[in-house]
Amino acid sequence: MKDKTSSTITSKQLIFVIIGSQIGAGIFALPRMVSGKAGEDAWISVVLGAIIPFLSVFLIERLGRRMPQMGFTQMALGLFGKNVGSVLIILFIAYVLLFESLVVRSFAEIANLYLLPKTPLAVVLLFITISIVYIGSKGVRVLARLNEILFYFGVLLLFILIIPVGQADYTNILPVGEAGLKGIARGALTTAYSFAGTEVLLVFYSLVNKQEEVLKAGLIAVCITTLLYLAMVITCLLVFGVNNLQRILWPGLMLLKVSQVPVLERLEFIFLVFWMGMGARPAVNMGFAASLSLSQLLKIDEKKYNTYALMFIALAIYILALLPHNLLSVFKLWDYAGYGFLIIGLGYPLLYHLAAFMRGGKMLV
Amino acid sequence: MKIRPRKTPPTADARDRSIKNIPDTKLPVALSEKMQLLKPYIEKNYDIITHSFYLEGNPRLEAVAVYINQVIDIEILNLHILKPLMLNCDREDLLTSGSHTLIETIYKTSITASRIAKIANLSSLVQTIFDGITILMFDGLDDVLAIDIHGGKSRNIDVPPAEQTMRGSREGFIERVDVNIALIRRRLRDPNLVVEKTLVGRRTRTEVAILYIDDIADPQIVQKVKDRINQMDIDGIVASGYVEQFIEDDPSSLFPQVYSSERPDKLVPYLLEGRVVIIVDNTPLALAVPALFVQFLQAPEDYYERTLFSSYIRLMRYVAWIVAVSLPASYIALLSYQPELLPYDLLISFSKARVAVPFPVVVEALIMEIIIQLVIEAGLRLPQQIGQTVGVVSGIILGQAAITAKLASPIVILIISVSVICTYALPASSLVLSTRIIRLPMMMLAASFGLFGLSFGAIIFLTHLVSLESMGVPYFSPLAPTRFSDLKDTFIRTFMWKMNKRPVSIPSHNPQRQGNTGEEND
Repeated sequence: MKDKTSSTITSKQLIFVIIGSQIGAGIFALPRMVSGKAGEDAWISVVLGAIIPFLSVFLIERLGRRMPQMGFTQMALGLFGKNVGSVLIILFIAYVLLFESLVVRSFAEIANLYLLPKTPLAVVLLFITISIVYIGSKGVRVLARLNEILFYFGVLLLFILIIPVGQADYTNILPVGEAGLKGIARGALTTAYSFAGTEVLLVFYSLVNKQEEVLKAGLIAVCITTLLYLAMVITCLLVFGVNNLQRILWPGLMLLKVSQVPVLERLEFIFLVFWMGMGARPAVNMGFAASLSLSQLLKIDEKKYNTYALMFIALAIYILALLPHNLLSVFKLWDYAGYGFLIIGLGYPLLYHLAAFMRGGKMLV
Repeated sequence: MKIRPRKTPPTADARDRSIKNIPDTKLPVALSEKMQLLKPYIEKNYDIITHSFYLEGNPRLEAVAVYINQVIDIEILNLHILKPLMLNCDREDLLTSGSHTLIETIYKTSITASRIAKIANLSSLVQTIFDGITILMFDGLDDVLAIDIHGGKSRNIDVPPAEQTMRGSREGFIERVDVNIALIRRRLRDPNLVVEKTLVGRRTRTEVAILYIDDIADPQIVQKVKDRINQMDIDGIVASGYVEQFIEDDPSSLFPQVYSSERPDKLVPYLLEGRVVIIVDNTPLALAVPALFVQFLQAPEDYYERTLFSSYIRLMRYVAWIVAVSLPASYIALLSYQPELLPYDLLISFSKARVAVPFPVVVEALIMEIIIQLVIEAGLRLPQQIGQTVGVVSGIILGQAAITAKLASPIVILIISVSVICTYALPASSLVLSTRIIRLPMMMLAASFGLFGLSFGAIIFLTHLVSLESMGVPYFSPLAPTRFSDLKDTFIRTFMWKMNKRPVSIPSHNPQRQGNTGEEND
């Protein structure tokens, strides 16, 4: 009894974990990336882009419902056998490592740009890595609670960003449909990449105590993320216009320059200080998911050694995050990470469903 | 959650090790033999008084009273026990009908002796004497009577010096556990209020009372508290702080996980919310678990004053805590790393004030912080009059001198003083202590990494707070995990008549607090 409650989260907390895995530093760059493809119609792209995470949540939930008592690794080993299953899990872990190293790197770049211009990137990254290990070592319940409280902080912060909407020029999003179907679709795909994080559900499904509520929680989470992205993209579009947006590296942060606050000279600093917890959050959640999979794969005691698995994961993220030469190569890699999301978030559950269908309920291991 | 490994509960055998060397022999009939047996254990102790007397009869029956001086009420012993016994009890009666008559007689003739027990063996006889219980031994009766007439001098019920109040009760706990329990009983006449007593400490054998309301408190939490107290294996406790450190979930945390107070009117509402109160003998501070973080920022006056004012003051306390923890750190970070964040004019006045100071900002701030901490420590133990002198000397003379000697800028003195004032605006002394400590790592982080360090510190402390538990209850609730129904009594304090449910953050099996709803009240 005690064991069960100490390692499960509520479906309400799952909402925050999914949101926390989705929203990272990427939200600041999203308006530029989407409007680059879809122009004035970027907001339509955001709405359409949400289809993919919805689909991903739906597929993973169905998968979990098919095999409710099995964790992600058990499923892989059971459906595909030891060898193929292990490869699938290792691929998942590798994806998390690559993806989260990008998240962490972008976040560190922002911190370096605004807060610590003279501090080496390696030091900033080290601190983020330490937070990943520290938070993850406290276990899934603490992780969920932290996601919960950081979500409320985050929403408050995003409200600050939306303040300049008062000075907006609504003609900036007109005419509707200018980009054409093709542009909107390309923009939607770009947005879909920003929704990466729903795949955390693959691992977290078995950790939720009321599994019948997972679908609802997942959909609510994606809805909230969509709304926040939409608010961000529309505000940026209205305030800056498409053309200006292309020249701004982090349009979301630029919004803070628009509004004037009496005592503090530059708002983005204060904003970033509070954002710090949120920037590392996707890496914390996904890193935890990866370490859990790793310790399950190696068949070691999760409770005892998960922290060591996490240390290994965090170290790998740290090293990988140091590899890209500059921010430009990071942005280029984001596109590949997006494909990774499609494979893990959509391809994996589809593949599993297929295998489960073929096996007809019989497990290999 | 990490709980430090607890040893298996000590067996009854191990707990009684201190009296184990006393043989468990049955007491003999003859008084002289009894005294002979008892003699080695009490003869070295000047304060144990043996008082021989005779009961009526032919020949007169010899009896002895054994007690510790000043621990029992000597007047009751003389007037209500010894005198009636000497006058009304016959030797013949006693020897024919045995000790039953004797107990009967004492009950009937003495109004104050309420608890009488019989003792038949030596080891419990010795222990009973040292527990402060009066012993009566009679020649020709093998049973020995133990009469609980505790007395002696103790402090009067007084205003609690560390927790003054404007509107609440002026009564504070004293050092006697029974008086403290009575103070709570008087305020809470519920028959469901359970008072359980256990003894803690092999040698001190201190009475520890566990109080809870049976039909509100969560039985799992009550059991957990009892288990942890019973697992305490220590030779002596002299204060409730010992118990606190043994029962808290994370002893290495900076944050207090057990609420302590010396005011009964603070603890009664906690009992009503389903918490468990622990009162330790010889300590005027009672403990309440499970404790929540927000609880340390709430004062009982919040409920005595009117809602609007209470909410305002409560919000101010949250501001005070944040300022107390982060103001010096922010000052260091801003001035040494991100001066561009400050408005131009403010920055100029800051740097003008610092122009003659030869140290970096962090050194300057650290010096002042350490001096202030030492001043607080120095003033704490001195008599009040001298304590004030220390305060004045440090406040006016030291501060001025430091500025004139160019050791510190006026700004840094202002910053540190504000943060100290904010620290002491917090209502709970245990949170004051942790706030004083947290300030230091935050300053260090700010000095090394500026605002980034500050936010790193914040996320680590937030994680730590969120991960803490008190008796298995999430410490940072109702904030995380968020319990919206409890938020009406967290940052603000809503109207009394709207708080119909008990807080859900504290598990209880009786959620309804009061019947009237807001609608009916219109």
